[in-house]
Amino acid sequence: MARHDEEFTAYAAAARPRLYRAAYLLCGSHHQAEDIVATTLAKLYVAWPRARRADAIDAYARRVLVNSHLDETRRPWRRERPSVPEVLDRTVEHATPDDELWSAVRALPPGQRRVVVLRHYWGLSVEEVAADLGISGGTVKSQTSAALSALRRAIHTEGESR
Amino acid sequence: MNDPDPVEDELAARLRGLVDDIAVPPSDGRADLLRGRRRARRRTALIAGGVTGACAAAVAVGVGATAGGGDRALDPAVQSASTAPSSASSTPTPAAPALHDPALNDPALHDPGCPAGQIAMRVGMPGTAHSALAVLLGDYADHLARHLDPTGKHLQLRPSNLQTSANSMGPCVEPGKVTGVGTKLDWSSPGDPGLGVVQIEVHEERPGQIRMQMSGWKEVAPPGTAVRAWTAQSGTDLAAEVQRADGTLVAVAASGLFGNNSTVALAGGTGLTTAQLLEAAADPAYTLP
Repeated sequence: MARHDEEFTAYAAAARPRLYRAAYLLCGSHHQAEDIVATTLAKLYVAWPRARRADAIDAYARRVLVNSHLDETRRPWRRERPSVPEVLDRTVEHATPDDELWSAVRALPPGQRRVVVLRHYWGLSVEEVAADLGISGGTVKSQTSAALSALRRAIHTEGESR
Repeated sequence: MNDPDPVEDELAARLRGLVDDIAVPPSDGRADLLRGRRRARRRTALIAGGVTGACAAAVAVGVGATAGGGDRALDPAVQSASTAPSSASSTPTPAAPALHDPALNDPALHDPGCPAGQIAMRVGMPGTAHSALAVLLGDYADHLARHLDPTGKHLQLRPSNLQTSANSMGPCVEPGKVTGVGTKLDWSSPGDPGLGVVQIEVHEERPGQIRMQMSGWKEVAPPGTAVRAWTAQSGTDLAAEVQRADGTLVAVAASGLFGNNSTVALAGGTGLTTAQLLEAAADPAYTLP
């Protein structure tokens, strides 16, 4: 196997869980998350030499992931035939505060959800999110603020339940 | 400025807690590699096609300039520039592809439930999400979309089923013994509650489902590298089939009602024509494992 392929395979194996979880947060569907990650890694393979030269493999993977999710939401059958939202994949007998947060995240507009995933799940700075999404820092801040307003109740419910 | 905010810190911790314990589907890293390679190959082919198209356009412009350019055509420099590429403008006939795609024999695509050197004849079951046939059906969907739905408004790229035939019995067979693969894809139209279908079959020499389910087949001029071609139409049901030089048959059908998945037909049918189906069927890219 060529060195390029070996490096890519090792990266894909290591990055897949994180990419998958981020994709799942973005789309809320295991099937779509799998599709998004598969597409992301295939595109990353094509761009691997360029991304590696720029020492920006993670950034490239993030951007492709977010754009792939955007592409998925633009597909007409996704848009017109929304599936029943999947229940968070873990066994719970009763609703938990996390369910409320999950519902709140799922209810965010896609743009705000992307910002939240990149800022708060991936831990990126405002500037990094702006660069990844191709938007201004001001837009990232305003989207973050709007998302936090929407999520505040779910976050506080957790705080009160502790 | 990225000042720490307790609410944001709380959100970050909660989001990680929300998904860090979900099960990530197992995946063979080699499957990612193969998908990447296939994408790279497709991209290269598209770029090559684009360059060929650009050259053809340039030649057409050159020829047009020559025909209407009066004195310019007499200028030896211009004349040579406009005539020299004409020999290159004859698009080389693509070589007939091998029916069985060697890339699909890669062990990384094998169903873990199959013996070494064999592939699973079913997809959608655990362990077959990245099987050779799953990859192949994805390719079929891509090829069909390129011809029938370039804007991505109608065709569902996730195949709804799998039809196979092989010179071997059992759930696993050796690559090269698969004699036919087909699938059906949803076809929808924005604002229309109906559901149509596009079906494809690639098989070695023998009549397939599409051939048998339609009547009134008429032989037509074969497009591209095909040696024979037929079309059939009955109401909004259309079909086209081509035969390659090696005998392989590729059939594509379209119907305004996907009877497997819906009872509501598309009000205006699929809007496709037999000419479009013929062009799609004549794409030499369809292969068998």
